[in-house]
Amino acid sequence: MQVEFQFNDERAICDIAGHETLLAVLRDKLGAMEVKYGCGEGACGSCVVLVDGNPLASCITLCASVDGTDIMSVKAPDPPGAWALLKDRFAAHEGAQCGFCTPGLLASCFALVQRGEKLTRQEIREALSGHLCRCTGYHHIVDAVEEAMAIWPTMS
Amino acid sequence: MHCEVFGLYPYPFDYFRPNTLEEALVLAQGDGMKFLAGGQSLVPLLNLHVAEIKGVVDLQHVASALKFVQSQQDRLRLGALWTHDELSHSSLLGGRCPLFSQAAAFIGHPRIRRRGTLGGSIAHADPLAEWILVMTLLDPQLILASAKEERQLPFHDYLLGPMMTALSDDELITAVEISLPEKATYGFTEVSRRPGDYALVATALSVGWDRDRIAQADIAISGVSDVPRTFPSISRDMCQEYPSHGLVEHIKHAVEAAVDPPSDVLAGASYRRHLAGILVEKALHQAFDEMSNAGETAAKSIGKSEGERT
Amino acid sequence: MANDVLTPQLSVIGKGVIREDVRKKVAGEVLYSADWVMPGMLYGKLVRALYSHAKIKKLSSQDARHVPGVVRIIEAKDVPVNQFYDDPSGLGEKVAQHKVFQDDEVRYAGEPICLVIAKTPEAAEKGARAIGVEYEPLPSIHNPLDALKDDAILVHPGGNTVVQWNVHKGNTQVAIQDPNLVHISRTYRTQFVDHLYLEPESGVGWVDNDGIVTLRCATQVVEHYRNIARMLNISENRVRIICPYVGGGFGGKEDMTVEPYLAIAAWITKKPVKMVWSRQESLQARPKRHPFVMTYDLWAKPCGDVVAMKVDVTGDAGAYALLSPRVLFAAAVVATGPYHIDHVDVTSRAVYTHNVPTSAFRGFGAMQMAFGYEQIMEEMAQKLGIDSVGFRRRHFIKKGDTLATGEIQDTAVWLNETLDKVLNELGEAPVTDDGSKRIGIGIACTMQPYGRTVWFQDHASCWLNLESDGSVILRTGVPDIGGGQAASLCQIAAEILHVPLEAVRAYYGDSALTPLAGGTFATRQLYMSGNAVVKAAQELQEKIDHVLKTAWGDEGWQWDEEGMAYSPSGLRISRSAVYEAANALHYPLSVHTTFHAQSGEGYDNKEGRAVKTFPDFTFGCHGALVEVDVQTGTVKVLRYVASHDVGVAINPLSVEGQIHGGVVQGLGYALSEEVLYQDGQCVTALFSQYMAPTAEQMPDITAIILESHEGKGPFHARGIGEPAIAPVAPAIANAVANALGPSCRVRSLPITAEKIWGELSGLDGSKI
Repeated sequence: MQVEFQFNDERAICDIAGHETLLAVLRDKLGAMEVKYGCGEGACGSCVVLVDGNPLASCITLCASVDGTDIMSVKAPDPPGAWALLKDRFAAHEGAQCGFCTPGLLASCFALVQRGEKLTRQEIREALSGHLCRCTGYHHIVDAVEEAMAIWPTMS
Repeated sequence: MHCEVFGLYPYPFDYFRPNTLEEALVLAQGDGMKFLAGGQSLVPLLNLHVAEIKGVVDLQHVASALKFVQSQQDRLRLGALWTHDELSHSSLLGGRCPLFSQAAAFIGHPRIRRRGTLGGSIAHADPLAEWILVMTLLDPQLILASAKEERQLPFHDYLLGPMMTALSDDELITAVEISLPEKATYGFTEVSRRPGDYALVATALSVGWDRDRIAQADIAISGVSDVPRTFPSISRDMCQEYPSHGLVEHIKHAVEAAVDPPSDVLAGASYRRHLAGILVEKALHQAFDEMSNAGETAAKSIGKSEGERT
Repeated sequence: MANDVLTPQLSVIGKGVIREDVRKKVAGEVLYSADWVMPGMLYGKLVRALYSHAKIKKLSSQDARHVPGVVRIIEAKDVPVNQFYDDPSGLGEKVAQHKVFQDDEVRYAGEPICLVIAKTPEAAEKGARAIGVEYEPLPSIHNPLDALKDDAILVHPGGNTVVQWNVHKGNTQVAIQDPNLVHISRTYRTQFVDHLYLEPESGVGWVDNDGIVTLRCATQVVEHYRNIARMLNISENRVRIICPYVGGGFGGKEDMTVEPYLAIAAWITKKPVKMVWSRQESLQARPKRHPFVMTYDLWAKPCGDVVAMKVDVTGDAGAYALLSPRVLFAAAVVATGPYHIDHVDVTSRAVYTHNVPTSAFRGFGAMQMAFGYEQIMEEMAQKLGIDSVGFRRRHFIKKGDTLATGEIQDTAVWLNETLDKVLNELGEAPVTDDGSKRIGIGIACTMQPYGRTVWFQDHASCWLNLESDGSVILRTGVPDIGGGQAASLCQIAAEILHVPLEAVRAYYGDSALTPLAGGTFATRQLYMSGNAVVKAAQELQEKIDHVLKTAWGDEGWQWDEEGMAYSPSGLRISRSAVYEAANALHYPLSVHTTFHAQSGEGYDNKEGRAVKTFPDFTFGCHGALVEVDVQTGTVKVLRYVASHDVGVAINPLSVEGQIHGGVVQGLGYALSEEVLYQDGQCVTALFSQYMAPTAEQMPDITAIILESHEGKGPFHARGIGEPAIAPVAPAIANAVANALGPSCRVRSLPITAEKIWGELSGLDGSKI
């Protein structure tokens, strides 16, 4: 079957079979290698992308089901600058070490920041509880998100 | 002997995305078809090759039709495709049966809560899932639809065992219908190894009130038997009683005595028994506190209107 | 001497500079091992054993061959040399390790049996499922203590003891005769845990234009090309391993994972082959951290002087030795902790069982011991009725002391300093008015080696060039596993060469094109490659100075922030001008050099003595404040403080990151993580069943970095990768015990709610 969706502001038209996951199509057909396989259970968060603005685990999302949606990864064009802001703060606080969980994590952070959420550190931790990071101990990640949340309203 | 091979991606199957419920039900008559709601349980199983199917019927275009709340005097009918996240907002049910929002808060993490659905969880029938416990407690009528018929089945006839149900392959849970006492408060507590994970033991209970006296009560506990269980005779002990420390103690000990939990790699029988008691105690306090808070609020408003009168 | 470069004003060292690799990673621009794609690429899937001990009667691949898309089944008979050998202790004993494919006696559930190669991953999986293996199940042994008994089932014909290490100091037998001594004996147990890096084992292998077997894969050791060459029975110069940025290692990619399978598949099919292990097979079958059973006996005078300590350690090696001999050696060396004790007897052994093999994991045997020594010290203080902090301080080793092994501690020991910081930051335990909650406070002081044992004659090479535009190229075989390994080396080169950090580019992790640096393990890379870069940069700087003087005269050259040379007389010379001048002089500005670590004799295991074991240790103290719910036994970590003396922090932001990461991995180890096996079968093979910490239940962490300027790394730095995890479990254990009150203590990991409840209920929580 054919599915059509926007991926990072480009139209993607893919011939797929019903069983193919969004993760498989993004990686194997569209070459979006920033979307990572980490567990296949939707549990680790490394494969998260934004589907119509909502963070979804692409490894447990069937590609056929995202027909007609607008999908974004960390490589999305970024005129308002929310991705750039997050990337900058993550780099400045070293919110990534091995970096494998980072693109998925940033997708969830992007949704939080764009909603204009202003969360406490504990609320940020809860909001990110669907992402596992094994390197940073989370502290620097929370630093980065907290700062991005504070800065974003002044940019948008 | 063939080998255990954990996969990365699912084996081939077909995909259908009907626009109406009727179409969905017709499609489901095909061999080896599965409904796909939030996909939080089904797709991992397909990825790992634990489950194999011929096709999925994606309900996303049907979902809005199965998101409804019909509130009647003594009954509440809930569409099956509400997400955990939606159910976690108590306003959805207009303040009725806050048990739903209490239980939803314990489910998974934000991504699972936004995607997973009530009906999907009931169909999957994991015995440690929060909704299975809530359903065991409330014993609603499940509305099951197929292309041939619509039928109602009480939950206690629906759940046959862990991950085993009376749902036919072509049937979809479209709604749950709950009978609600006129005035009831609820408790929900659990202990899990990590926030958001399946509980080791969880307790849900409801207390129906006749003024400040207990008119009826139900208790359900998961993690102490293969599927969640209720405690009818212990619950009956609460009827016509006033909330008291002594009553809580009595119920707690009765529950501890009544359960015969399994020991497994996650927890031993004694600890599960202990948790069952503690969690019943905590849940009872929640239900009682909610009642007394409601009473105080009511008393305040009475006091106020009396004050105005004078 | 490499270490004498400490200059009063450092411009890059000690600054929390932003790592370039992190910039690339947050932008999603890094291609990890699984992200590599080649034309005509095939996919591999391993068939793994179902039984923990069985004879393979028959392997039938007929059905699998007929699965559409399946290209080839590779079995034991297809591998030129189907068995790995090595010398894990480094003392000259060749040990038979695992086979590439088991074709006879399966020794653990998950052991690889054959490999299916297909055109798609799905076909490879289908093919793997269609392989039929006929087994004759055999009785198996899973408890290492049972495996030591005389009549135990043998895992390997030579006996179940892999290795036994001894450490002797003084004369324990005589010392403990004093009847006035207070004696306690306690046993502490630790569990199987998984590294759970986010990047599964993965890579692509191919045979390149020149016939070189090339693997681009996630590994901590590019030098595995030698093992691959032996397996293929070809010359070592015909195998190349390229290691892109690794998505986490923690020791789990120190042994080979996908390497032999990619190599044999590419070698046989002559096509590129990709393999990605599923998370579930990784959890089920890849090496874990050693579970330890540690029995401590401690004798002290009533006044609070420790007299003697005996330690007996058994580590479960699982079915194959892998790095167990080294892990248990590290355990033996630090068994007494950072305490000066006159009479010591330590025995540590690794034991074969039919469990999944265990091997390297951050902390490498030394961290398990901290769970023992930091509790026995606490328990003795309690028994003596004295303050446990003072008791520790009284026995802290000092610079110049003789350790249990007989070696001299020759660098600063800042145990008191880190302890002071932690106690100060932690403050007093708050009082709770909630009757169902109890607050506890606990500390742990530890030592953790960095660098390899001295008899390995460790060395690391690098190659440093000044380019014509004035930029610098650093070539080093370091695998970068996420800790900023390459970035720190750039910082060091920039510092010494007086160039801006952006001017230094590192090429890393390629066994054919970058000078070999040894693996990224044992917290050795900053120490080893850092010193190599210091040495190379100093030599290169000398050459640059020579060119300056030769071409422009001896003008008393200095360097400005832009990396220009200037003289008091007003000359300003760019680095590209220096390059041109050097060219004209036929004087290449290029240095290839090797740093040799302090080396020494092999360990005398008979006497239990050494002149030197590890090059040095990193010391530190952690403190935790916990809240225990006495009704359910659940623990909440309210506050966590961690302090280490890192000698010098090359990049304080990265050092802090290592400490945070070590603490959270340690908190998972302490409180929730465990890979559970029943009769050798993994029952927690799902990612969602493995209780690694998420952000939600983790506290903020206060990391306090101290700098004694006495490490053996570059600029006197010490390693911090592994040391950061060691104190966590005992700090939590002590805090929980403090909350529970006298005579309640959970002595086994993880410290679950159930075990705590067991202690509170008067059951023995450690045995639950």
